[in-house]
Amino acid sequence: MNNLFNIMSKQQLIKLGSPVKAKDIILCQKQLLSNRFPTIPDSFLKILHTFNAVSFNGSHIFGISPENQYLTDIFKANISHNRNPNILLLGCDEFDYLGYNQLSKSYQIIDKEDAEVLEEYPERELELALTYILKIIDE
Amino acid sequence: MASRKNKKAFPELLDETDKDVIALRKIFDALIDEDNPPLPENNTVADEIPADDDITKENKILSITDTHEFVQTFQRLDYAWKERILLKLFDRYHFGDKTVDLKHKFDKRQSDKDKLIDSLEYCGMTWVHKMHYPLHRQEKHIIRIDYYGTVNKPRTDQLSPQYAQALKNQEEFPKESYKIIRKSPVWKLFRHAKSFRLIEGKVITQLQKMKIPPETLMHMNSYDFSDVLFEAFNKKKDHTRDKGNATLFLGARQRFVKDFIRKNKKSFIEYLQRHNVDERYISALVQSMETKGITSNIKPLNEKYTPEIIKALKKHGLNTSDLRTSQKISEEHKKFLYENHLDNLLIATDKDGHIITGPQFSVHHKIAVQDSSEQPNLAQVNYFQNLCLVVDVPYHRDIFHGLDETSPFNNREAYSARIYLKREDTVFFGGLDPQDQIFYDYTKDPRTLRRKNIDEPQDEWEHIGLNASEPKKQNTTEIKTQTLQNIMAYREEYLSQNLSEKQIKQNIKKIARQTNISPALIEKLLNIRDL
Repeated sequence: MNNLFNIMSKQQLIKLGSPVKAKDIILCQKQLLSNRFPTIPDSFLKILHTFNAVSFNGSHIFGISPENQYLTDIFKANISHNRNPNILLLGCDEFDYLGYNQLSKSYQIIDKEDAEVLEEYPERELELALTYILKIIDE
Repeated sequence: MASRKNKKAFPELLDETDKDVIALRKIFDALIDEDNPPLPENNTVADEIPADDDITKENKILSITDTHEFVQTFQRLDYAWKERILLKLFDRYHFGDKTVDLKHKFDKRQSDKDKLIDSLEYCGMTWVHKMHYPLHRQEKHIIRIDYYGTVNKPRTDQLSPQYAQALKNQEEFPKESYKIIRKSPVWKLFRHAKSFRLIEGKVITQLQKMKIPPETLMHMNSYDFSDVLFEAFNKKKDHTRDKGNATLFLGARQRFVKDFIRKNKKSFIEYLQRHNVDERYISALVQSMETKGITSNIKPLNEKYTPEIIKALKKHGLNTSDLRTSQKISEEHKKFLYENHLDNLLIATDKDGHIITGPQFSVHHKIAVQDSSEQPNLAQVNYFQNLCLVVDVPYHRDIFHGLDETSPFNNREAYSARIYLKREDTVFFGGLDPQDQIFYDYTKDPRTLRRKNIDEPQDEWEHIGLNASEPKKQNTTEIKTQTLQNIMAYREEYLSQNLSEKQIKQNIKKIARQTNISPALIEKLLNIRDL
């Protein structure tokens, strides 16, 4: 994951939210549970401790109540767009969502239009899923 | 619309007095004349709502229970109020009514949805409910690569067994033998888009380098080709080489942004100025759009020395005695600031020390990918005529996708509802006020017409859109319209082919037979005699 963080921090046209606060994590997890969504997996929380939400050239990694209006909130995004109680949406680009499937314990790239799972990454491969959504190139 | 009178669709080719041409032009105009419904007179305060303040007025409007009455009130609001009410309504639709207890929070949901759907009609938008046949996964894969211009390294489980086996091959093959690539069913799909046709040579070179037996090409899936593309374009040489993604070309998204700003720079800058965006932000944004095709997370940089920069340089032992705040920052000093992680000092701030910010924009597919894929040509999904630059917040994020719905269909989820813009020629949407929108009809752009017809060049006749089995199902006018467009768009291609006179005559006869258009008219349209 450090490799991705390094690449991200080198980008000029990226917006990164400040690290999330513990209090906000608890509040968000409660909100998600009470609305019957899966909670945020630990592997993703680790990201939020470094960057609470990311926006890069039309792609987004969601965060918890991010301070900037162009960064997207996990809870709000799920309330607005998620109809699957086993999935938690954690990011998106123009075509797809990045979702966490609590049944298969994996990250999935899900087509926004027909909900087809296009890619699936085990939890340990979150970095690849994030790279897919953000399309950041290290050159 | 007024400007259209002065424009000729095909100025150098057509006799404008020809009755066939006049008839066809009427058809073209009828196709693009669909406008928004007439907007009611602007009225800053809806008459029947005397409001003490904005919040009271907002609450009064939102508390109207009858949908018809609500919409009547809504249509009389000015654009700023329309936006405000729409956003509040979306908020209540998604998050429930915060003014009532938890049990009744979503009681108004259906009524709010009805109000939203009806109100959008007065905002130049419409909610379309439609069932779809989902695209094939391989097609989706190609559309995404074409749009972003990047490719991910596929996982081994995504590769076909034939390709996985071929990767172990040690035998070399001559480059000529890879010409068979054009017969590969999946590469044919890639070739729908010009971007892939342009890099075909590099793909062939890479296939040869990887010693892939040519016969494997017939069995390769889109992930196999992605693997070849990744290997051909991946510039990394370290341990991360097998991960991540590689840039193939400038994606359709960025190409669109560059084209948009080239054609609409003045109107776009005027829009930003009307919304009081800082000039430094405008300049940085426009530059980013022109050079990179990027519209978000713009950080305007200081062009001149600031007291903070001079202080930092002095602190690091550099001679700053000659530096003045009116001077342009030297490249050498810029480099020094970057190398010493002081580049934050280069970011422009306002007089209070806040970083200068401004609106962000995203590229939006006006027509859902599923919808546009109903076209016979896969590449059309990412054509400029299907793309629109939209102010990210609130429009792209909260409104344009605020009523997206999917529902089960043929044992699969299918996109069933979405908000569409009424004017298909919208290329920029910056607000509900038509002043904040920019229009450009890409369907009439000669480049689009040419491209539409060269994408997927399977054979000479399909090339120009004449499929022998199809015309019988269409009426003559449709055929004439299509054919005229195709012929015009392809005139240049014909020119480049250096066809003999005999070949040209044979082709004309074939078109005439299939379309019931007289050979003389086709010849006139092609202006063959003048070539």
